[in-house]
Amino acid sequence: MAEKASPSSNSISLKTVDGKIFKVSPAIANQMLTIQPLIKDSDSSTIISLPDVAAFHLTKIIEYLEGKPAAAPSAVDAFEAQFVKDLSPEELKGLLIAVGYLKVNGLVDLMANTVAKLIENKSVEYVRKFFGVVNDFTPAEEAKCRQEHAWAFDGVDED
Amino acid sequence: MQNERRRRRRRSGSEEKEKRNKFFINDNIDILTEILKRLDGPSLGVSSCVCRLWCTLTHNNDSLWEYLCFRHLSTPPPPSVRAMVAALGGYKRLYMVCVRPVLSRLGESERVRKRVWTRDDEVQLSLSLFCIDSYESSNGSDNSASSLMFLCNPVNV
Repeated sequence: MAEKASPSSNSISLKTVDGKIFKVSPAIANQMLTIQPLIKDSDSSTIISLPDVAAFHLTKIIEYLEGKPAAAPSAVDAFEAQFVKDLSPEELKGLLIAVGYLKVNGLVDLMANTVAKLIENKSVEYVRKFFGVVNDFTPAEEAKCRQEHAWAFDGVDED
Repeated sequence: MQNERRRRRRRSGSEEKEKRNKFFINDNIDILTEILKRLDGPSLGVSSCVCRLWCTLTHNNDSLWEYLCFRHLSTPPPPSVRAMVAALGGYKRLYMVCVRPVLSRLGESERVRKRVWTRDDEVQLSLSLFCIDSYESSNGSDNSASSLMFLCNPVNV
């Protein structure tokens, strides 16, 4: 995708954590709110390093920003649905972190909604496993917490 | 010997990189919050029991419950409501006392829920019930016959 960006003098160079350099137009880069202040002061020789973003994630982010239809909400919905459909849960989680770090317009919403849907109506154990979170409660603390939230455990899906 | 050392250095470098690229939700509280505020009520309750961090977040961040109370509404109530709800015990309390009982009675049907709960009257109703509850508990009266909280109980029509 990055190759498509015009190699004009005002394109912005972004370097991912795995060492790849992407050239993007200012219009695209400006939608990544975290790097916005850096863009104003940069010229064509500046390379902006993104320590928390891998090449795969940046490719996806650029694909989203370039491909998102400008008008018609129904076209946007269809585009977004297809965009997340192509991602595995692992990729979704990684992309969510990258998107959160860059504060990408519109994409934070889409990714967080998608991940939230994946853990809705699931058991505590499922959520822990999904995110790789270690249970650091003592048995007594966990029992108390579950007691307090007993109302939430009706209708939870089987693992 | 030197080659060996170089190879080892390269290997530990890539391991480090791998570790850095690995996804740890608990290192990214902002993002975790973005996910939590999009969950439905029971899922948020379940999330409280995942680990200490999640438990603390759901207890201390009342705005998560604010999103939850108004997630079905097309236009959320004005920000001025926030101070009032905080004074009456916060959004978690509002959800538990007034929103959840009504929602669970509306049943599983998302369609019915959307039709009913998006109306502004329903916000007014839950906020009114909340005021009544708060007033009654501040009076210390547990005389259920005179309590207006019967409005929260199931009725057969």
